[in-house]
Amino acid sequence: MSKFTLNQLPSASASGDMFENFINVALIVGTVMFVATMAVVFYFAWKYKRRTENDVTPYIDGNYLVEFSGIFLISIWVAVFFLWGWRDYSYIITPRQDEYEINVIGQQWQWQIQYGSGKTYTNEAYLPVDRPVRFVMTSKDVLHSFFVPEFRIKQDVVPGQYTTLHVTPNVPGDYHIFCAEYCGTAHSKMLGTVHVLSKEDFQKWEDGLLETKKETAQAIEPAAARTMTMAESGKHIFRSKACVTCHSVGGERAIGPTVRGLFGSNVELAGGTMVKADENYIRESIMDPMKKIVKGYAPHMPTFRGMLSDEDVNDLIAYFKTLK
Amino acid sequence: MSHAANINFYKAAKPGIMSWVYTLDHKRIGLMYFATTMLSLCVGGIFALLVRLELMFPGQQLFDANMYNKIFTLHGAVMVFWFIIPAIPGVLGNFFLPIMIGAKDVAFPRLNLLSYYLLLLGMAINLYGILHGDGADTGWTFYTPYSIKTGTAVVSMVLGVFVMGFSSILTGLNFIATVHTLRCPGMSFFRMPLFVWAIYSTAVLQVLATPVIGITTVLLALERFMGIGFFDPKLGGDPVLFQHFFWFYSHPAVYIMILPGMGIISEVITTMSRKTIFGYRAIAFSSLGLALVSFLVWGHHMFTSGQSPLANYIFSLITMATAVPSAVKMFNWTATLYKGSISLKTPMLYALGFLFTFGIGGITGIILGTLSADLHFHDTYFVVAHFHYVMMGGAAIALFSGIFYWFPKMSGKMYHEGMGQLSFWLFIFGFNVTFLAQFVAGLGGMPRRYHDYDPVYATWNLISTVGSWFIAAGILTIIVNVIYSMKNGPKAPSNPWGGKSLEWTTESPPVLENFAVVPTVTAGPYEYGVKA
Repeated sequence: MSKFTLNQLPSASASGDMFENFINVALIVGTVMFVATMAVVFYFAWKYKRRTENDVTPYIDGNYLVEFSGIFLISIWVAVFFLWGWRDYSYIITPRQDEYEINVIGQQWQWQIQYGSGKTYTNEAYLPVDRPVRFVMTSKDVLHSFFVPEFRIKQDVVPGQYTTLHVTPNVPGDYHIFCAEYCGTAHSKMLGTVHVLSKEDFQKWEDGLLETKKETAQAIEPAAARTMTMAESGKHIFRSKACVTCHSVGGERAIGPTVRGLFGSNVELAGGTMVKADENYIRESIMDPMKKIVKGYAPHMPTFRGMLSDEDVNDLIAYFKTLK
Repeated sequence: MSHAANINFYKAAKPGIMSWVYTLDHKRIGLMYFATTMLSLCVGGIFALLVRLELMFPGQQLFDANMYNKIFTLHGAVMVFWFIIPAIPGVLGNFFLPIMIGAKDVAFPRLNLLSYYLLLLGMAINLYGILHGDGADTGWTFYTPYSIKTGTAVVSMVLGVFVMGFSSILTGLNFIATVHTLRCPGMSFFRMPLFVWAIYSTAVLQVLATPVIGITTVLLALERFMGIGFFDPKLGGDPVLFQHFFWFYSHPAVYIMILPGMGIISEVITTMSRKTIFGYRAIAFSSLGLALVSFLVWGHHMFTSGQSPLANYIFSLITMATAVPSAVKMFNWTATLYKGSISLKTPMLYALGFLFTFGIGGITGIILGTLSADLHFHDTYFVVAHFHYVMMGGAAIALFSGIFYWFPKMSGKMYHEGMGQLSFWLFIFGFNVTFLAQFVAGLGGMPRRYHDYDPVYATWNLISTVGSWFIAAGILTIIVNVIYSMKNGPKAPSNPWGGKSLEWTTESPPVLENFAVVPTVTAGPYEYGVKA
């Protein structure tokens, strides 16, 4: 996978390779355009240096051909770059079949990485090579940004909502996690490591058989793994916080809508608009239930702000995803 | 005052500080802005040198993280609000806009003085926060929720910005009124120098955009003081909304910074090539066009903020469109050089330097506007290098060009040419070393606003720091030249460059009301050479 690059951190993902293809062309085109323009400027500055105080210069106040050629050339250039960026970006943000989902919670000044299995790590992420991964991320406090330079992508992590990052790593190895949105004192210390593992090693890791302590600059022992998966924890919360009082899990209509089949479905709201029941919708329904009322139901639901943590909400969402 | 027509404006009032404090003369106001903004450049520059000293090697050098965070915040805030936004309009716009259109002063001279005092008041409020409070550690962009929660003197900083905003708004208002109502006989719009078009376009932005940062700072202050949840999600607010408000002003603001600089380049390249400008109308309309389009691209600062993909596509597209008017200007300035009679004195050196550095800045802007690429580059040193290339390698270098170009007119003395050339080479060398290295660090993914960094970026940081010392030397040489020449420079003729715009028909320095007799204009400002 080694192509020429000025970048000392090698690309390790499909999106990273797309970036490398673009930037190599962009830097060449940019350099050529720049050198050509500067060559002309320097040449003119040398060739047309003042000879006498009485030099007479030609009166050239414009030239439509030159002007429009210049405009045309620039327009083609920026149009190509725009389209290239659009194409690559659409590819990067499109969810894939069978994505491996990982929850990330950023906070001052560390990353909590949660897996569906219930394992939670601080500042360490484990990804399978050649498989699409989806990070579902939020922050506990201020803005952060989850950046892996070797993947050539980042996404801001925002308190009160979810943002997502899709990536397909294609080279096993250890890569940097940087926080890329200024977040206070230890912004530059909010670091981590992404471990991209071969299929074999990833299976071992999932089975708990892989040695996880690594001699990286920021290696931190993984937090104690929970005995429940995220979905099991979510099921427990759904009962212990009495959600089941108003929302059935079997599909029946109750005081509130059922949660079976809810995640990913299209929901009709009181005003007639349709919304997709994605992670942000679920979270908003729990924290700000008055914002969107489902058609045919009365606005009774109380807010759970302050009663459910970000991890709890992640667990509930994981539970809902199992209720097809 | 009957014989004031024959006395230069310095002598037209009783000597002493009161002739400055209460002046209504746009030229004196311009000079007060000059002293103030050059001081601001030094303060912001010292913060920059401290940032670069800390980043010279990995690990902590001089400052702990909290102190470093304040230093980089103040570097940005001082440079943006105390220096680069007020400088060219306040100094050269004030001094030359009225003269260039044949007027005696601006439309509202008292408002003009008020603008200057509002700048000082805003700076004083900031200084209170810096010296009495503990400054700010939010970055100059004050993003929420951090800016709501941090204990530093955020309200002093944003209140100062609010006050300085009015300085900018009133200046813009004044200049628009001046251009519309005080042009001398024969001075049609298309006979105005391009510097006037540039200042006019800037003034439109100052008036329309600045109120948005005003209200944004008010909302932030209200949230800090009274807990009203505009931006804090725990109070039902949206932190990303702050970014929309902030950048809705701050993107047009970068055009407030660069358009006047481009106006200066038009003047210097034309006059010092003694050749008429290529594509006058294209340059004039591109200034207006850039000003208007600048309102539509703010979201390119937010590609990774969580805003919708549709917004991302639209902002990327319109951002690309802004490259066209800027490129038109670059081509037209280059074409103006063709078959000119080019003098490579200091103002022209800085103008040619502008073509070099703004060229790099603009091209890297096109790269950053490419949506997929920005997913990597956002919040890295690639962005930092890009904006320094356009702000410092654009607006600041154009300011220096303008200072040397118009120094004889403003002071009546010639600056020292050898020192001028030395300052240019020190500056251009230092600038490129400092910031090209940052492009490489950013390409490698080094995030910005980092107190410490991964050792893989060490080489580039060391190079960048050494480059910053040459920038400092260059700017110091400019300041020494200005001060030395104001005292000891040889007397300057009224038209040392052979310029054809109206300021070159006045004395050096001009008389109080600029012209002994109100001029009547019968041709454009760049009628060099033989009309075919």
